[in-house]
Amino acid sequence: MENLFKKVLEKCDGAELYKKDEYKTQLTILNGSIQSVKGHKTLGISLRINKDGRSGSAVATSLEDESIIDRAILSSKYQKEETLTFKNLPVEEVKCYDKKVADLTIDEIKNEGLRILDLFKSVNAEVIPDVYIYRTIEYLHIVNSAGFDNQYKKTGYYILLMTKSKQGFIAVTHRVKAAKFIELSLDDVKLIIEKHLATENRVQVATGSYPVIFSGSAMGALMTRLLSGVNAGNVLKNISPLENKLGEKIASDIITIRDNGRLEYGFGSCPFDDEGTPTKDTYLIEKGILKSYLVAASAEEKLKMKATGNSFKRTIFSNDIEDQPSIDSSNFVIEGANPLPDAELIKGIKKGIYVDAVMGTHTGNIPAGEYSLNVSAGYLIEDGKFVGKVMDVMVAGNIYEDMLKIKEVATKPEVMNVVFFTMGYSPAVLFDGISVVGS
Amino acid sequence: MDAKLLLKSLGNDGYQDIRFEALTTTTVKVKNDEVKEVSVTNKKGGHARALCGGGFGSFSFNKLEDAPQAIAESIAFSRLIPGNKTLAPVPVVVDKVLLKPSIDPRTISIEEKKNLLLKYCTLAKGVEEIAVAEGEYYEQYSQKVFVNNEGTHIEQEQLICGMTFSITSKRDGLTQQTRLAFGGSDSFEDMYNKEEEVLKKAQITVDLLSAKPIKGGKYDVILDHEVGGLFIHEAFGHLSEADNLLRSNALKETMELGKEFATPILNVIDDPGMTGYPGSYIYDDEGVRGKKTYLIKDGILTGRLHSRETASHVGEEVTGHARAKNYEFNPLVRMGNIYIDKGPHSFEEMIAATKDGLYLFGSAGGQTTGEMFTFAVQGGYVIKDGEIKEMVRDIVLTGNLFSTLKNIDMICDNIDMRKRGGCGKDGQILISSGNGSPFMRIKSMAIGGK
Repeated sequence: MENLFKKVLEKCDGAELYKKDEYKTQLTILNGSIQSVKGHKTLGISLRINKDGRSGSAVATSLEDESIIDRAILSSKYQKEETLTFKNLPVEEVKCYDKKVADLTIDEIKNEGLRILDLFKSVNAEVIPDVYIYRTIEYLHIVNSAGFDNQYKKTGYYILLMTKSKQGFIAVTHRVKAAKFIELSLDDVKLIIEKHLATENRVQVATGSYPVIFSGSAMGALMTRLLSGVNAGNVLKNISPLENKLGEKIASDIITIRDNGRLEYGFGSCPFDDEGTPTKDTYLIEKGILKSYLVAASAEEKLKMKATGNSFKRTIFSNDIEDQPSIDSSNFVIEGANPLPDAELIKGIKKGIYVDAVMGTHTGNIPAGEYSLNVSAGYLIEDGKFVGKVMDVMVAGNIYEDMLKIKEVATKPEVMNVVFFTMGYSPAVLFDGISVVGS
Repeated sequence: MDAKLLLKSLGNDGYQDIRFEALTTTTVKVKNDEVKEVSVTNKKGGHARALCGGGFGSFSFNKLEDAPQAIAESIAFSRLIPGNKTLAPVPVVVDKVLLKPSIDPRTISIEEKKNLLLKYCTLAKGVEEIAVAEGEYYEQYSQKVFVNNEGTHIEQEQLICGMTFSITSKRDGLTQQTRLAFGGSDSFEDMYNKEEEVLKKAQITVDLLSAKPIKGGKYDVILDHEVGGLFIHEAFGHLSEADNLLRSNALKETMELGKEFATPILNVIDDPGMTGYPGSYIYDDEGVRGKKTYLIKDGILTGRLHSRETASHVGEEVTGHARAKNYEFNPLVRMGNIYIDKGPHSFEEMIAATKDGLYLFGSAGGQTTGEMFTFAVQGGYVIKDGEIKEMVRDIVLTGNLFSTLKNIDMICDNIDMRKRGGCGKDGQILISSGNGSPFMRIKSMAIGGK
């Protein structure tokens, strides 16, 4: 790393070199048997430079590949006259590495997968889920020409469970994800099986407006739209509905939404982002009031706001070394005033819908906050109880209208799902009067 | 690329394979009249697999010299899995596949690519009420070597290039967004002379600002080739990927070949062998030649897409559809070019025969769980008494596999394939996945809306 960076500085006016070593292990159990075990040991190198008043970038998969320097210089020749600003801000540690996760052997991961299967069998031998366990260990190191030279190590532990209907289609999906080891409990399994059994009675719902609970997982679809709105890049492009709305009420006053890159063992936690900016705990919405945007280092001057440590090398569909750093969530954290236990939230509803999973998070007019989502797993609630799985139902609306309709928030945080990836933690949230298209 | 070390890494224990690839991607991104990014990426890496027990062990790595270790790890992983899984037999292949594009994008300078992209984005931005025109040129060239311990040794070049655009219009607080794509093949040819198409799409994006939002409900819809391609990809294509059958015995019964699955006028085919489309390829990532496969014939389920593992699992013929995004991933069963075959009607006949419905254009992404699916479109027009009327916007459709395929009642007599590839599955986005369709009419589709 040091050698390569020296050579970079000999040819460039300023630079940042980024190195990520990744070790991954994946266990897949399908139909009650182990299907596959995958290992992964890869290296990604990314270089961003300033040269003759322009910026450029390139990536490689080996520190010996010195062509990365000339490729970055080549890239700079086509850019407009603008340079990157490299900074050296102090970095503080964040709890994002769990030795227990790092030390897990493949045998232990296999045994954990089989233990989860046994838990299901002990409750209901008819409900056998597919089990995926992913363990990741990352070593990330950034150096830049302003003197920044920091590294961190980070673990990830992710369990994905999917039960299947009598026809063989996905019925209930459950996710556990953190930077530390989490043991799935018998109570978790009982809850998944309870939901699964509710899917066996299929019901139709008439088109209309209903109270709708979005599970913590399904909240990811709505928060994808908010993420677009609070992205300072979109504010600068004049396509965010939240432009000039700082200090204004944009949601129910019981709701607070933060982006917390420093959450202890949060799966998105780390000491600094992929540009070397220290992560923060940023209040986006506090008691319904818009408090901040998520700001990249490049937008600081134009917006006269400090960077929030949210520039990450990933997109909604990829997490590749060649992705340029762009605004993304670290851990979105949703909290409500006077939250209710999840069961209480459901109990209070005479007739409504519980949306547990959706399809179409990535479609529609996301910048405008519009959503129109297929309810891939959802339940009709009548007199405070789940009565069956709703079939062929969509929910639609605009988050900037619907966040004002939030009535209650539950207590138990779940991992918010966004198509392939996840974006933080949310409890179930009750909205009053959401448009539902059914039969 | 020297394949000797790869061949030397293979042993005789069970089944073993390695694919090693050198990937070069060129990306140019433009916003309005500004270049946002130009990058040339080099990546190298390999993926080893072994089947010595009840399932595959596999390992991804970067350095060619790590291949023996990757095979050793794969064998150890596979041995952890109880059982004795076998693969469907395939012919041993020794072959070299070299590209012959009509206009090789690698011979076009970055300067020319950038200027063309800037020209189109500047043109779109020049249309009144267009707020942002963003364009991206992508070019992905890979040299892959695949070897296995059965004697197969394939060296294969693959190349795909194209331009994609996202055009956003804005009036007061309202924004609308459309997409446009050119290329999607190994030739640069389709990137030239697109001024008219760019201007037309920019104007449609502006017109959407005056369109009314759709009211949620059930509609008879006519889909254009882009939407039809996305529809068949989401509504049925993913379910025809036979790795689903590894997950559930019940699904084998649900998906039994010979079942009446759709309207008798529907024929669905997947063909990686057609040249010039995003999902075109010769050999898959198991060294098997991609085969044209009839999935639905006259409404009857007649076939599915297979890897060697899934073909063995259900006792069917291998189709050469196991593909991975790159060396970091396991090959999964993926579509090549899936399309609906043409029918007897003209577009004009279809519009004239629709009393009350919608004509929908431009795909904007979709998703499926197998039984249910959803997809978004860029916009639509109301059809009233056989005539196209006013524009409508914010349209997302949803459907159920078992009813929607039976509700297709008219199919047009021409087919067009989409220029933009792309498909997501298990965390892998594969740009080399194509689809297409004739215009088609589906009765009673659910559309979400307020």
